[in-house]
Amino acid sequence: MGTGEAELLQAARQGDHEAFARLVRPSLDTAYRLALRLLGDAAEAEDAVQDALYSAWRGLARFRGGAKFSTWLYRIVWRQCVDRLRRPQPAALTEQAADVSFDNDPATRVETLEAESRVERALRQLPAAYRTVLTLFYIEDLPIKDVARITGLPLGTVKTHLHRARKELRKLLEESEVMQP
Amino acid sequence: MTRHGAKRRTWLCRLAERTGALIEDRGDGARGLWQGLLQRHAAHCAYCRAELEEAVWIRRELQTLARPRAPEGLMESVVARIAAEQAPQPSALERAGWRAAAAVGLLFLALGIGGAVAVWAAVDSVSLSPGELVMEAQALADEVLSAMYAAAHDVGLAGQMGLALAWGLAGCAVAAALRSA
Repeated sequence: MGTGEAELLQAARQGDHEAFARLVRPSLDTAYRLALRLLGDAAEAEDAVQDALYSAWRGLARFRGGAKFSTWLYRIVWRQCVDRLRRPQPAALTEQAADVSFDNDPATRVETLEAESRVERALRQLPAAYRTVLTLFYIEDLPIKDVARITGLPLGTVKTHLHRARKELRKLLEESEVMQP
Repeated sequence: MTRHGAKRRTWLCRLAERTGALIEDRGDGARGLWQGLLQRHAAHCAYCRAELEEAVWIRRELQTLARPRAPEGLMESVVARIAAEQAPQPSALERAGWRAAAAVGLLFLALGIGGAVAVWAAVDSVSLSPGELVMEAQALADEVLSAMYAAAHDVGLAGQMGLALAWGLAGCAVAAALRSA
């Protein structure tokens, strides 16, 4: 943990919520994307991240600094999402995950959207455990050790999950290619 | 696809498969000493090369996904929630509003009247000179009102107002009782 982060953490622990915001902000987008990939719904993901950040604020004293603050935060977000996934789902997962803004030109945008829908759909069909490791490792580029810390799984299990998740995803992507007109 | 020799996997292939994530690890320290060995092995083993290529392909596919940012205002709403939690909470009496304040006032009024009745009874049963009567009544009223004040100490502004009202009414009652005596 850097000195700046340590100072912000100290200030946040003493009740400075602006310091907490500055501490969290660099990890906010990744936290949100993790929630979005897991829950598949933007509003639900936003709620989950909000609740997770609130839990993090209340539990700041429990963060001992053994890992990065962001890793600790992602773990709280992940647990919040897993809890929500265990609850009865009010509706089927929506297609909104592809509803994002693009900076590309229209042609690229269409291509990206098509690819996105296909990959996004395939990703959503995977079990949550596989979605988690693929998201954290391949999309968010987190080190595998951090993936293990976030999910609370042994390193070997994360690797196994990654291996199986890749196989499953490849199979789904190939199937979707075959089914395309 | 030809494999190293045949389709048969060697112990290195199995190791590479089990540690699939390590092959395309990004130098996060998790791959350890095996990486060089696995890389050299993969260079001439079709099976492992295919595994590696699959990992690269999956990464490329997943990287096509959009990377939505956290919604605007998400952090601010969390900070607002935290700040609301930290703000001084209104007392139960203040939350309950004027009805509770009136109830407390009536309670103190009843206590005041009770004190006055007690004074009346004391005056009625003890034969004292008018000057002594006044002294005794004042002492008794002081005790009753002190007890009332102690009980009302933590009830906030509304409680204090009720207490003042009760004091006044109790005083009037005591004065009226003494005057009639």
